[in-house]
Amino acid sequence: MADNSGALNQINANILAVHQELRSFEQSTLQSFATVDQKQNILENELKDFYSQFLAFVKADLMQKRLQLAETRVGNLRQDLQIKYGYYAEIRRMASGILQGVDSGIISEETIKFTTEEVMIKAPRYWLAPTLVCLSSWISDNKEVAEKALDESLKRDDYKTTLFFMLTMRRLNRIDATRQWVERYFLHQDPKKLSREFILILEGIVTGIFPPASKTLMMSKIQSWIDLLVSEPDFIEKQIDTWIQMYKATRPLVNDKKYPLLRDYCSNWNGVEEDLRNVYSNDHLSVFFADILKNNDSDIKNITFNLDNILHSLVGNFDDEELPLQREVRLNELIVEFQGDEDEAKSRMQIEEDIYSKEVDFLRLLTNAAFNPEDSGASKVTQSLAVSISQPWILEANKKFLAEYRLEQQQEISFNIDGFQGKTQNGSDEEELIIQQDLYYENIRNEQLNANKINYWALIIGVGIGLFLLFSGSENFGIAILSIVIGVGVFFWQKSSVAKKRVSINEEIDNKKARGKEILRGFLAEVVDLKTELFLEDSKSQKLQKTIQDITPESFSSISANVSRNIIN
Amino acid sequence: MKLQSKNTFLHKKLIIPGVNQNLTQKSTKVDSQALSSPSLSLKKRSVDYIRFISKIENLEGHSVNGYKELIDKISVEIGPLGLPTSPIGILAKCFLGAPFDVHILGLSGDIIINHYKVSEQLPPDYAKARILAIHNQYSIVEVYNDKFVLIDIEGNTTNLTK
Repeated sequence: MADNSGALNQINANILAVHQELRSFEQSTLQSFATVDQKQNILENELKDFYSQFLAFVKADLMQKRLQLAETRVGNLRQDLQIKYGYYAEIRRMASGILQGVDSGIISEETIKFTTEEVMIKAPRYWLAPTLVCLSSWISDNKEVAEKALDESLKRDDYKTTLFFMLTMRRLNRIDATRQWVERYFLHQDPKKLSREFILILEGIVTGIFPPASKTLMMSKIQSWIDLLVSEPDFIEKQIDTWIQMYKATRPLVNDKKYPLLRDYCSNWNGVEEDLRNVYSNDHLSVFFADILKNNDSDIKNITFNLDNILHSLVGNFDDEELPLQREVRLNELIVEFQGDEDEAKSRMQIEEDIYSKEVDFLRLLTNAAFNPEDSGASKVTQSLAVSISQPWILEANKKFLAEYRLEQQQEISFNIDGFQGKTQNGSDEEELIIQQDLYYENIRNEQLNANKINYWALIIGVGIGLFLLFSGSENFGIAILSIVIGVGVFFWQKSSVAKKRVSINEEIDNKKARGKEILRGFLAEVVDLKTELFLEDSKSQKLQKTIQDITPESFSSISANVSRNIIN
Repeated sequence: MKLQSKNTFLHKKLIIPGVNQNLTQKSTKVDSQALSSPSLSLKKRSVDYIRFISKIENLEGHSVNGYKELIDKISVEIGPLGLPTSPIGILAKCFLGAPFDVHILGLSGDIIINHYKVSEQLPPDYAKARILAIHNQYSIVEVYNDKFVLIDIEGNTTNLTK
């Protein structure tokens, strides 16, 4: 038997050993798995990195290729342009020359060259060519050729021809001719789609840079446009709405430092703030409109400069025909500029085009000129014109705006002061509110004091247990006594702490009450001030209405009359 | 060479595509009156009318019998009563003093005057305009089926849809 147990022990030991080995094997396997897992993560990350780098490389390569392509294209396209429209560029150069000649009164050989019709044949579709022929023939007194050339020019591009001659005749002070061209120019205009330079022409007429007869023409034209637009449904409503939006948007803000107690304790402060801003608008708008009517000197030099610029661009800009080709050149130039980034180039091009293609409708023009003249390229005088034309709608909008904000005015001012909530109409009910506030705090005091009670259970349990033990005759005599002592002890301790708490409760309530009263009084005083301010500012609406009623086309005419006088002098 | 002035460049009639032909026929008269549209504002109310209505307190009783003068004054100012476009009543500040704040002069059917205390609710047709009738800048509010016409202290009118 000893052999057996020895063998058994040996077997046990062996099994244990194997067990151990298996264990360690398992451990090392798990370790390996962990390592592999880790390695896989690293690999995955590296792969991701590599992939994004690869993508970036591809993108960069693409851009590089695009860049090279663009560079080549720019060269080719420019050549193309030269071949097809090279002559146009020549005409443009000559045009600048002629204009200069016309200004200075010196006629050169070049001018005379242009009286031949050869020019027109060489650039069969370009409007500028016959225009120049006309101009130079007119200068050299060749009526027949001038008339023929003019016909041709109008045929090729009536609008640009009209614009050109209108501006040129103005420069040369040909009063009657200018007036006729102005008339033609206005006939071209569609009030729904005014051309971009229209505002500048309007400026020129309004400030008297164009001969005075043009102004009468312009006013009657505008009159007919208004008549047309007014007949459209909802037109007036839209105008009134636009002006109401403007009134709302330009309301002054309430000074940060004003009404501190209202800000802190008024529950409907947002509504109150709106009320204040609404009434502030009366004075603000009075100043705004009065300012417009003041005689402001227009920047005549600047306006004249702008008019000349129109002429120069007319003469210098590409014709419609060349446009597609020119746009391609421009696009590729931009691609080169952006180092091959085609998307960037395209969006920049879109912006450039937007600037040049904006057409406005007449009402938008008026509204822009009236609200923010600087942004829309209008001077003060045009702003005055815009406002005087819009006067009926301005007035109606103002009356409606007033009625609406008066309707919305907060009728009550509610407050929440340290939990005490209430409301007041005009701050005059201080006495009643103080009484209510006192009541509120007394209620709290009573609640708190009532909650601050001695808990008799400790005493009852302590003594109860003690007595029970005593009279039930158990051996725990000592515990009984202890229990009673503890019960009584706790009772006295409670009594003293309750008394202390009572004092602190009263103190706290008294403080809060005093402070609350102070705040309430201050609050009500501010309400009184608020009501006064609201009343005063609201009453300024009368002055505002009067100011608006005084804006008439007549008052506008007197302003511009002064401006014209200034120019002449 | 001299630059001579050129009188006419325009010989041919101008047909421009896309531009309304009618524009060429419009009158050339510039008239500030014409720049406003007739539908824009109602006629201003006369001070006489306002004063008369505001003194309604002087007419005793709840029912106004044979107040020809009243009806006449209103008809002259606004037009005949009883039409769908006529006012159904006039809301105004009450000068009887507290506790009354507004009164209504009913114009549809019998002419009635009712005074209302601050605590009392106005009939639904009038309720919204109460604040405005009390407002110091408005003298009276003419109440119609579909709108209010606010009359300020100078007689200017403001339309407010209900």
